[in-house]
Amino acid sequence: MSFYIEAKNIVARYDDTEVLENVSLAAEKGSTCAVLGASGCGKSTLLKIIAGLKKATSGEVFIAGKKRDAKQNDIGFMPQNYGLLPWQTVRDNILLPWRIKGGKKKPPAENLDELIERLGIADVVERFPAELSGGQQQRVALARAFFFAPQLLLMDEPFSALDAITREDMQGVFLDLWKNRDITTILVTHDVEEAVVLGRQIVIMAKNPGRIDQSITNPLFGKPRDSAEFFEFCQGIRNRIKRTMTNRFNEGENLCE
Amino acid sequence: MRIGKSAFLGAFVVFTAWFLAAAILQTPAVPSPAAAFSRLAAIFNGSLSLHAGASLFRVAAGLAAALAVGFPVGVLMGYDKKIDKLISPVVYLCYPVPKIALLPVLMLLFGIGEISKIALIFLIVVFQVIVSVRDATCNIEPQFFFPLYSLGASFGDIFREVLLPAVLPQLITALRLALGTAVSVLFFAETYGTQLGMGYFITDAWMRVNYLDMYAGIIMLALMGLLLFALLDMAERLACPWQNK
Repeated sequence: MSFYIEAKNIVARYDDTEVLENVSLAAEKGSTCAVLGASGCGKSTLLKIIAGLKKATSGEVFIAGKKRDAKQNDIGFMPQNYGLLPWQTVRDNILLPWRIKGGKKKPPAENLDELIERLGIADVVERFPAELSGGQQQRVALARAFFFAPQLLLMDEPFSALDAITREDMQGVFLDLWKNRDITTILVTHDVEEAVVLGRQIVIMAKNPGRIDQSITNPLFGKPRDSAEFFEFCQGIRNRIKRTMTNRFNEGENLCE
Repeated sequence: MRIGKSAFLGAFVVFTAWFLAAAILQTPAVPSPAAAFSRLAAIFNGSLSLHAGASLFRVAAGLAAALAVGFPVGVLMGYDKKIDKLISPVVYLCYPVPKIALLPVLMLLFGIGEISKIALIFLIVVFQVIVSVRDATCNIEPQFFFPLYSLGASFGDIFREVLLPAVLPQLITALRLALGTAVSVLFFAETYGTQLGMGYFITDAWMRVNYLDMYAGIIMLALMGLLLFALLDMAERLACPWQNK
């Protein structure tokens, strides 16, 4: 099986602290991968290395079999607080990737108006982000990501700034957009439910140093979140994460089955 | 600082106080506002407008030169830590030096004409512009850059999409602060080596004990300041529409 996105043997050492110890991660084309872990496990650093925002001490990232190159590849990055530019209107924010990469690709067949209509932000396209609610800003960030249709979409704690109800809502909006476009997505989260809802593949990270504890193909991906099965599965993952956290007190124990 | 209703209230308070002072003191050194304004109207077309124009030109040229140099230097310092480490000691060393003390040097280097006066304003404003633009650039949230970096944006893209708009409001604030200093120092510089400019006009009227001319000149200077501040406010409203939303 060949993977579309591959991060191979990523090591990140900053000021003598080992943030990531030999992390490898791969995702198939058109799938989603949720990287899950407690704070400080280096998951955000991993995402930034894949995005090219940070340099790895060693290791490589490949997209479609070639080394990642920001100029050649189209990598969408959605920061924690949406990354909308306060000085640009919603429309200009959505079109930002096109202004930078527009020459290389044609806009997707579906037009912008249809997308913003679908996301319910048609009324606010000429406003500035500061005038919008958190949920609306998140919708704009999603519109920006999906209108550009990057080869790889990276989301850093995408919905963590939202209240619980809006967050579930937004996860639904994301899945809806994603299903229609098959954009390969890697997202980082500390929210177990979010990982189970959004990740076809779930990668659990452990910390000190940051490493991959386990990678699971999610049996509940795309299934409703209100089943007993869903609750049990989340509980299992939560316990697993707790075990990775106690691990640093007894170094010798090998957690990997 | 917006000019609106409150500005008229402010003017009203100032003129009432002035009117009362003139009425109570009864001395030629404090003429009534009405007398000063009618003198202003009488001499504006004759000579005062020429003096005001000369001063405005010097301020505008000095500010433009300071912007042209200070803005790119400040952005580069804020954006690139290496450049900052290289230049900031120089800036910190020069910034606190009272530039007015350099006037004799400037006059020796550039003569006593226009260039030494414009250079003086430039020197006063440029450091304020550099420091504010540098700090504003440093304070841009890193997450604004992330989506651009991941797309492999060029420096031109980053400048256009993020750096320029992010820095504009602070740049205008820096110009506001610098403007007051620039005008008062220009006043001093215009008392030497020129027969044009508000500094010359007011000092000359003072020497001639022509208090009405002197007051007309002071009012003119205040109006010039008002005009410049109003222009900056307008520039901010047009260039930074996302502010005050």
